[in-house]
Amino acid sequence: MSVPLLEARGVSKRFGGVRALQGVSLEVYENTIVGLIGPNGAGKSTFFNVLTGLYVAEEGTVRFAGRPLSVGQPHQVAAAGLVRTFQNIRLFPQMSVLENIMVGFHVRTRAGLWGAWLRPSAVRQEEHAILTGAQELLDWVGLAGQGGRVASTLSYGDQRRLEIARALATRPRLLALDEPVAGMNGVERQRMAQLLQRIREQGIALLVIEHDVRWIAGLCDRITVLDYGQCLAQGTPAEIQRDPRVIEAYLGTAIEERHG
Amino acid sequence: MTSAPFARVSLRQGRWYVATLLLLILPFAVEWWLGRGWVRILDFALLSVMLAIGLNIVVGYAGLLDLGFIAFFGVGAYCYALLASPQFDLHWPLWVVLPLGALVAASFGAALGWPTLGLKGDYLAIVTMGFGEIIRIFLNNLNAPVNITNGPQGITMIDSLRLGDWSFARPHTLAGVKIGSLVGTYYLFLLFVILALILSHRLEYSRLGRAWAAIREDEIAAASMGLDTRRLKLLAFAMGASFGGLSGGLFAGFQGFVSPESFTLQESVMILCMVVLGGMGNLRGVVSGALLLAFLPELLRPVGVWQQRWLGQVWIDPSTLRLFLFGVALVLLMRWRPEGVWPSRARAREWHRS
Amino acid sequence: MATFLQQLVNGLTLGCIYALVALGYTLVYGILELINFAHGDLVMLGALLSLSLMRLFLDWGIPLPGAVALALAGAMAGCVGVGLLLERLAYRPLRQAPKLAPLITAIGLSMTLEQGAALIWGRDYLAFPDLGLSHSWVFGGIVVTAIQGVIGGGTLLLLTVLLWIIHRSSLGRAMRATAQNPVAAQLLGVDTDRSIALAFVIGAALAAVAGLMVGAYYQVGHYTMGFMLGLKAFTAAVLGGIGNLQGAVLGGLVLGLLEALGAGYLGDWTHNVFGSNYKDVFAFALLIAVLIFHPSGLLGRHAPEKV
Repeated sequence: MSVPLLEARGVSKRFGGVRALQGVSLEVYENTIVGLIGPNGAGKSTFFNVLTGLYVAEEGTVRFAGRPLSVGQPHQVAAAGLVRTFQNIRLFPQMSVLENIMVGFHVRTRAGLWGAWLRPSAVRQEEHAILTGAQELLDWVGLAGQGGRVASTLSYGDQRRLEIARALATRPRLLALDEPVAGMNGVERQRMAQLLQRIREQGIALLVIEHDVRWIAGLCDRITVLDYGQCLAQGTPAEIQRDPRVIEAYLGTAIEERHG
Repeated sequence: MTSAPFARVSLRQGRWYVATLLLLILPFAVEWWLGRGWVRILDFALLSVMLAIGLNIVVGYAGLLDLGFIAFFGVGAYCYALLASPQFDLHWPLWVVLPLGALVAASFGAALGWPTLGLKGDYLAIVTMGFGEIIRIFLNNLNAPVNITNGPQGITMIDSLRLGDWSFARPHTLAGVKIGSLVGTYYLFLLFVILALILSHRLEYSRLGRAWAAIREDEIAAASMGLDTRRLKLLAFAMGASFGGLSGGLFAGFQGFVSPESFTLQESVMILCMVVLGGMGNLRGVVSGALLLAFLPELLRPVGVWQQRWLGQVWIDPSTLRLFLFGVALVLLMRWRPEGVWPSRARAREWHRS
Repeated sequence: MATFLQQLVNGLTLGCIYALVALGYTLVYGILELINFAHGDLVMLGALLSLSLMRLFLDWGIPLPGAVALALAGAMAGCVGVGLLLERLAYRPLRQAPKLAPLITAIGLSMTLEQGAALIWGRDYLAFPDLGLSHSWVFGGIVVTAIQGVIGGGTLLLLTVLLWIIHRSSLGRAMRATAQNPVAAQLLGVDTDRSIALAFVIGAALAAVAGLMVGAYYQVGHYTMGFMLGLKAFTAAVLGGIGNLQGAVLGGLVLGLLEALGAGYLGDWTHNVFGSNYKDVFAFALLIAVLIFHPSGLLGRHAPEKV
């Protein structure tokens, strides 16, 4: 097998006396969708924060595209091609929808101080390319015609789409999504799954946190289950759904909840 | 089209012509109506406008609270004073000293920002506030063991502003029109203010300006999208500082005298007040706010005169009253109209989200 | 050695005052995560109020101890009143506002208090009435003045009372709950508004006492006296770990000591390039160093930002 795009080995993170992550390992290969599931407080978001450089892990290594990820430097992680969304959507709420996406292009563009002041033709072309690129992305994620609106006035589902469009503007190789369908109804979930499949078809790998096991099983190539900060199981969706430990720790309760 | 050439001038362009004309004849009108003293006040007001434009980059664009901004003004002023005065018997020309002052101020800004910009906003505010004081303490005490700044007495006999053979400290006659020194200085300062406005405006609507706005709105999201927030904040800091330094250099050359007394926390708060009053992040508002507050001491001067006349004694010192009103204004603005009196639309929304 | 011990005594005295003021910063910060820039000016207000009241009461012929006690009570009432006003009228409406708003309000309030005091008391330095505490004792070459003793004893007493309030009384429990998690505290029936107001009240009362102490120690009152003191007390609070009461006291004492020793020895160390006129720089350099290398302070716990 080839070298994984993202490779986390034995990642541990603690907050004071609480062990949020204990030796978590995970791989994401090019062109795949990997799911990360687990009950509330299992450490999924913490793991994301470690991956994207917001938290510094005490132990373990994270390698991306064959190189170690710079610790505690979120912007370098994004520049390397690993970009994320947030569980509680973090847009630039008072900027326009289009501007939000344009910020995403920042990391792939160059214009600096003198460029801003003198506006040579190269800079004007770059700005033009950013604008058209942003517009294309807007249409691509299904927000056509919304570019002029203030981001915070979008509907909840559209805000999620905008967050994804903004992330795509950074031209990632791996897109990490923290609960992209939380609070959505069945139809919206279906549409989101389609969008994620289209993103994968663009050659971008995906790492997706989600609670809804059925939704994620239908989407992912592989699934990792976290529980109490540890890897409980890893495998294909079918393997995961059969795994007795998983059923006991997570699926069982979820199914009971659903039917009870 | 065969109509008169004037028809080609659109309304918008026409407005610009009128504005330019008004700005050009303004000092003459002021001198004629109100006297030379007011032209001097106008000159100082333009320096304030420049300071406010600089601080606006830091507070308005990047959303960083800098409470020691006047220190950069001081650095620029002392730079000019040391390099163009009998203090070290150096008399470097304006076109060297001014950019150098801006550059030194920018490096000071970067040096302060480097260790502190990783901190949360409220820490930054107090660190900058202390930094402003520290600069003043150094200026006050660097007269021993080696006399650099001449201590509390300050530096006098600073070279006046001069470009080639044209001295801005002397009146000139140009095409039969007599241009007084204060009027000439007005044009020089106006030129710098317009330059500052253009540079600042272009920054606002650039890749950098967009990045600053993003940092202002959500720093973590901005960093996660690949924005090097620390570098960008540092840039905003240095940028604002360089405008401050430039203004300081002009101030030193214009006044011919600098002392640490001019660079107190009160002055920093005054500039902050200019930026906040007009509307953070909005150049039009910032300029209006700066002009309004620069003229405030003159508007309050009668308060002292009336007291003298009717009460026989000045009970309420107008300059103390002015500072008091600055404080009150900041509090009231934050409570009732945080976006300022002439806000930019985006900023107005930001302040009113629930 | 005697110089060293003398500086130690002076430093501890200074440290006590810093500690009292630092507590005000840390109490408010612990609950609201707000730097109340105006807190240093409450100290100034306390000093000037007690100065004026003391003169007034002495003029009325009230004997010195009574005049001091009454002036202190008056200054405390005044500072608490102003502190409550600040909280109620300026800070409370801004709790949900963007972070910049309360910061700018705080600096505006600081300016208002300072210049307001200048309007009332003028811009001149005012002589503090003699408290008759200039008596001093000599212990093996070290001079300890009565006022130093009073400052030390008074601080100890106040700290004991404060710790009792915070850790033993129901009011203190409500405050601690609010600091931990305001939303949860409110759900459990804690009047969080009252807890927050209480933090301002305690801080203001301590500031009033500190004001009287500073005035009596340096025998002078001035409308700008709160600025540097406030900055240093804040440094002390950060040094000890902001939000942590014991930390504020420890930070205050450490800063007082460092500053006294720095002022005493800085000139010798640097061959008089930097004299004691740079002692304000000293405290400030410490603040930056702490913020960079150990922002959680001596006793504070580092809490990662919620993402």
